[in-house]
Amino acid sequence: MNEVISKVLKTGLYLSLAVTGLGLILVAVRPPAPTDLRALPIPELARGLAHGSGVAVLDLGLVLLMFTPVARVVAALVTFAMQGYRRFTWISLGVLAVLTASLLAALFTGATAG
Amino acid sequence: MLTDLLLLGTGVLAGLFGAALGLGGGVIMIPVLTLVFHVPMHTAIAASVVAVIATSSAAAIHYVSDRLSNVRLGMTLEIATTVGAIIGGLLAAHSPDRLLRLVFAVFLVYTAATMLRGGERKMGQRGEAAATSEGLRSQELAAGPADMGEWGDHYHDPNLKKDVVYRVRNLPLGLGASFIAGNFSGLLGIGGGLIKVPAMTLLMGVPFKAAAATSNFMIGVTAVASAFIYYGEGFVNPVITAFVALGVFVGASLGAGWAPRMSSRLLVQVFSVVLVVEALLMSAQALGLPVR
Repeated sequence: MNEVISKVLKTGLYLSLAVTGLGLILVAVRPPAPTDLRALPIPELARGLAHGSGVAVLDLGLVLLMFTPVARVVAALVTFAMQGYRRFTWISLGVLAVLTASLLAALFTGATAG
Repeated sequence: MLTDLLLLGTGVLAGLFGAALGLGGGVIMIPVLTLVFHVPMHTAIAASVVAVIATSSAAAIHYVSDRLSNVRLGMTLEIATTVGAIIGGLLAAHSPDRLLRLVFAVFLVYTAATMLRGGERKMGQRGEAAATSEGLRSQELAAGPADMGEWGDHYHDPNLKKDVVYRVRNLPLGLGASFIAGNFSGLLGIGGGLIKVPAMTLLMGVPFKAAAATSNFMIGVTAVASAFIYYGEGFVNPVITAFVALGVFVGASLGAGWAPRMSSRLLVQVFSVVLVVEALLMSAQALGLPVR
């Protein structure tokens, strides 16, 4: 359990920081207009990436960073379920449900703002 | 470009001093962003909350593999911290900038007072001592791991040269304290260790080392719950947040190595004064007085 969680955190953290670093380089090379300096709503990220936007790469790095603890909860959930700890499987599902509610709120706000 | 480098440098310094003083980067980063870089309070909190995810994940990698973090207890308390964080994030999103500055200033004074009294570690140890004097300390259970209950845990303490086994008590109270910690984390972009660690040691009988590691384990998930809110509300400035997150991560990683040598009484005293000055300046800004 602990080794799996540790690996998930390490992978997510280094991947997200690498993408964020790349985004900063892209933004430094091709500075965006000040008006474009806002986080893209999550549904618009893919479009921004397809257009090679440095800000979109930066946003992707930050979103990956935000999803790292979520992946950690999923890893714990799967491990608890496989080990047959029903109580903690339900508790992990509860945490995941709260995080999903928060993400949906962000998507909804992002969709309306965008 | 110069501003960007200064931002990165500030992040590194915040991470370094945060690690040396046992603080999250938020209490250093947010005042610097608002007072020096004139970043709006909501943007500063959003940057801090995302940076907190990076630093707590980095620390958790080690604590979790060392088995110091109590994963089962952490996951349980996270139900309360995440709900609290969402409410805190929503409250912050709909609060005026000035009000948040005032609340943050009060929190800075609380942090300075806690640091002068010995910080999280001292509070945790006081909690352990109080629990022991009440005959409630649940470490060193005679029957070993079989006696630790569903939420208890065990770890090896190299200083004591033995395995420490503990039971968890007062879970409902712990959930209440976690909700409040999550609330402050979401509202002010901080980790909330100053609330969770004493609660775990004093109320729940968790040894200090396990409490600090478990608190840290929870910070990432708690911060994400409000980070999504800040992101959705458009408060995340990607460039500022990226520089701060990378800077604090690098600073905290470097600081972890020399933290024990740095934590002198003088440093704590100087830093407490700095926090109080920051609190005064932020209060002045909140009240509309000219600062700088």
